[in-house]
Amino acid sequence: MTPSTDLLLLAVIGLNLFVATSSRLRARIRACALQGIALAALPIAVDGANVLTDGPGLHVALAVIATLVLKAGAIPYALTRAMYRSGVRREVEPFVSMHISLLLTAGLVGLAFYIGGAVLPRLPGTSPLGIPAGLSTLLVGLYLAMSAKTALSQVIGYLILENGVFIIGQMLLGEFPLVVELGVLLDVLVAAMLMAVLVVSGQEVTEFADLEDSRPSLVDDTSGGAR
Amino acid sequence: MMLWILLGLPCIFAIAAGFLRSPRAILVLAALGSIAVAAFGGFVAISAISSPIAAWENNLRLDVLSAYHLVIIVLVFAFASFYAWGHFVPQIAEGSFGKSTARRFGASWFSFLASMILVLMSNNIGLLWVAMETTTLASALLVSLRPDAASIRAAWSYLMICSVGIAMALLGTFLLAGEAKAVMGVAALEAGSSPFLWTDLMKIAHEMRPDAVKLAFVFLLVGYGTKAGLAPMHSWLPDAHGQAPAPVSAVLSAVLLNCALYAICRVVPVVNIATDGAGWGILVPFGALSVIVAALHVLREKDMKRLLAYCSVEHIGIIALAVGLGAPAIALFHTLNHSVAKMAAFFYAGTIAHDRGTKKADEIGGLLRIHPVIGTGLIASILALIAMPPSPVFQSELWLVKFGISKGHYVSIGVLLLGVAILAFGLVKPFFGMVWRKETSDIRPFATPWHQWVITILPLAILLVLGVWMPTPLANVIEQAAAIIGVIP
Repeated sequence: MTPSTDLLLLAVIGLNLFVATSSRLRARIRACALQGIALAALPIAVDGANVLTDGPGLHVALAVIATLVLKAGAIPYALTRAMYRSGVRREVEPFVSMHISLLLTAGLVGLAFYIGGAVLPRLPGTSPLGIPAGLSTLLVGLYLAMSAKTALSQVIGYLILENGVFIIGQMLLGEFPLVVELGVLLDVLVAAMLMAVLVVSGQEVTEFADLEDSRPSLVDDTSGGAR
Repeated sequence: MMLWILLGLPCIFAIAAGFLRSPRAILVLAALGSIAVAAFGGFVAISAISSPIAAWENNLRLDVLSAYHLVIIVLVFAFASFYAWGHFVPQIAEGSFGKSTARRFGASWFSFLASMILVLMSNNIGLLWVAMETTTLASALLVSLRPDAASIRAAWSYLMICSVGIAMALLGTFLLAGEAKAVMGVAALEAGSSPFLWTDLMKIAHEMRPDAVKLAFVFLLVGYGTKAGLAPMHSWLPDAHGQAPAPVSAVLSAVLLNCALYAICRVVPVVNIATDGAGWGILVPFGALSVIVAALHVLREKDMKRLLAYCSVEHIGIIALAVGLGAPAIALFHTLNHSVAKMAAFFYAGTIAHDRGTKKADEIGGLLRIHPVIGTGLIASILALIAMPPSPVFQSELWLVKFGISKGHYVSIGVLLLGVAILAFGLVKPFFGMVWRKETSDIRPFATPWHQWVITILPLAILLVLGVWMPTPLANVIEQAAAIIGVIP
């Protein structure tokens, strides 16, 4: 546990609040990329003392580089391209106004701190901020994926949700087997790319950016379904 | 080594499909390649029955439970690829199955097969998650094979809901591994145990804290349950299964759902050992809800493929219910029966929908006159799905009812019977209506090419045999596989 870990985790939480309240997609994508950088730095910060004395092990180095390249490079790039090609730049008429959104997100962060402190176990020696930070990232991501109206914002919500799961995993396990870590990263990359492609090709076929019909919802809706 | 070859074969075919030029050649490759994988997969599965095969420091492992599912998967894939060849070849001439579509189909078809094989082989629960998410990605490409608005929309909601859902399973995986790591201690970890390996988890499961394991299981159940189409997380399923091309729908409904349930069944024994057998009860409400919700949806649905999709939700609910009540052997037998019957039903419905140009059951008439062979097949497979004897589905449901009553689970069995009755009514009305209704347009009866005879007779023959006679080796395999799920401390 080092002060730099706590700083990184606080930055992650701050970025969550920022994403939930900005309506410009570009800003959201950038915040998502910044969160990716914070995530990549996390293993180094957690492992701080060891890295300084021994240098980063091959395992940590690979994981850090892969996270940086994918979460701060390839995925934001793909999303930005999709944004320009689909011509949707901002969240139009969101279901929930930005002010209420800010309140809700803050509430979610508070809830995460309450649950994270009480329920989940943590490894001795990790930051007490870790689990609540991960949980709040997860909840904010879920909220975005459910409530956003534009397709790209939903993708951003999914990515933030995945970041949250990753932070929790990091705090519970320290480090993952390399094959799991790289496999998960690769899957997230392909999922984001595929979603970006679908957004663009959907835009070409219909007025797709306004996702009224296909907004994923966990409430079944056969009448509005695709026929 | 055998496991690597089995995993590598479809990967090689996937790459090869990207290089072939003619759509016809890609379809032939898909058919022959899948049959080759089926032959080799069957061989590997048989050798795995006597003793589990492991590779790559125990990250890959094939035991009886996964071998049983492997056989179902390769069997269904072989049939579906053969059907795809017959289904898509006429579309080449119509111009709707060009080179790029064919390449996309070939590559994602085999990646889909490879990822499902990896799901079954993974002894590492992290790798299992990676493979499961890969099945979503590969099959989303297949759902959106036709780039029309409805397909893209279906692929979108499939990809989005399942990815978000499965992220919950990743959290569950991390929670389970985190608890295992805390229990294992430094000495065991340095001796080579890994908190991600299922075999190591089983060894230390009795030392884990029940609450922590239950928490992990809830996330795993919600995550993989989304993929399996358990209510209330099933909303993506009818769109995706209804919009995909018929061979893809068949594979999605007949084996992908099983794969997701298999992942849940993998963790069930760990949970049961850790909680003194209290784990699998959580499956019961999900199963019962799926049965009822699906039955009610079937009543107001007209689209043939969506009807079949809701029927899948129902049967997955029955399987989950069987596992939840503590009868994994019945669940496994039902899995096989449902897979064969559902695959066949999607083949016939897909052909009829393509020939008639509509999927709406109430716009089609004179079914048996215009499609004598395929139409008979469709009616027979529907009867099998609604559990008319001598269908094996009837056998497994009857056993489940008997089992449930003998154990005193009256409410669950009542819900099951009600759901099955409503489903039967809901499916008979639209599908038999197609037989009785007079066809008003002057459409001529379709000729039946030889490959349609094959896909009509073979699956129905399998169903008939399973319905009247249970081969002893199959019964043994099912019992051994069920013993893995149903291990009681």
